[in-house]
Amino acid sequence: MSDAGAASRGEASRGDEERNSERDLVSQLMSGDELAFEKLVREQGGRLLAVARRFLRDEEDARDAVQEGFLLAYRALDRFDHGSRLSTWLHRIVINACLMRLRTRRRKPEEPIEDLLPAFQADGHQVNHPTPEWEGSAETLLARSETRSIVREAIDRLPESYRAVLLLRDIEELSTEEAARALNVTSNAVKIRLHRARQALRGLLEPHFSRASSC
Amino acid sequence: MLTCREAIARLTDLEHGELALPDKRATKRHLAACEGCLPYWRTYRATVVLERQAYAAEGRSGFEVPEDFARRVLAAARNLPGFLTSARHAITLLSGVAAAPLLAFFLR
Repeated sequence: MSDAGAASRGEASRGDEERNSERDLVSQLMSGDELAFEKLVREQGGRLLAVARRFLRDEEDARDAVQEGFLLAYRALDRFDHGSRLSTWLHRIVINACLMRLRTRRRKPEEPIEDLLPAFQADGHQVNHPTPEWEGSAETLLARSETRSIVREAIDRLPESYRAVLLLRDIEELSTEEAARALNVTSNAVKIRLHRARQALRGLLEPHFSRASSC
Repeated sequence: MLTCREAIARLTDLEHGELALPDKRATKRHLAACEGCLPYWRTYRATVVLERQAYAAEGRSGFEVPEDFARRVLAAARNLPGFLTSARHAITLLSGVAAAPLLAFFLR
């Protein structure tokens, strides 16, 4: 018996165990078992709070959204598809609760991002040649203690419609189609917004990381 | 040869592997040869790596559930129809156990 074969069987068996334990948890939840619900809150609550904080940037709003997510999930348990993971299902419910809250917040007019995007001449060539290189690779920059907070602050500066797409696709790892459903827009709109959001973020990061700025 | 505008418009599709082979080749050819687009492409890719890693440290530190939050969610759930508190759940289970011999007796 090869080591790889044994490891793969070990993983499959752990996967089966997890699925069985999740199936048990769901049936306990469906019978209204408080201890099962408490287990779910304690196991998943912290991760879901982190997700909600990213979207809502307000602790109390994040807590409300996660609480609402747990209660919605409890009420909708009979619609849970056992083919998917309970944690993934909860994650999607909480994201929807966050997006709903973002929609109902008083909307501020969004600042245009055009200044952060590359400019082109009439013939389609870039205006600003050459684009400055950055001080190092992404891996080198990540080794610096302040990089993550600089990037998070830049993400927070993006207009809401771009920030939401970036979080959904690149951070929460939803597919284009899932993000489109969550935002109630077309897949093509998600692709366009994601591209513009990444370009705008690049523009916001440039002053921090470009070689020219460090001189 | 593509223009810079066309090449840069395809960056996300290129990163996601969603370009047809001829488009992918034409885009990469432009990006590699253009002194403005090459650093733009590099820094665009770095941006994607950086943003994907921006919250990664949160994942490693573990996610603690604040105790007051866990209690608050449980308190809210107790108002839901069909939700059994631990005591009510125990009573339901015990009454089921107690009822079983009686049921067996009557069904005999």
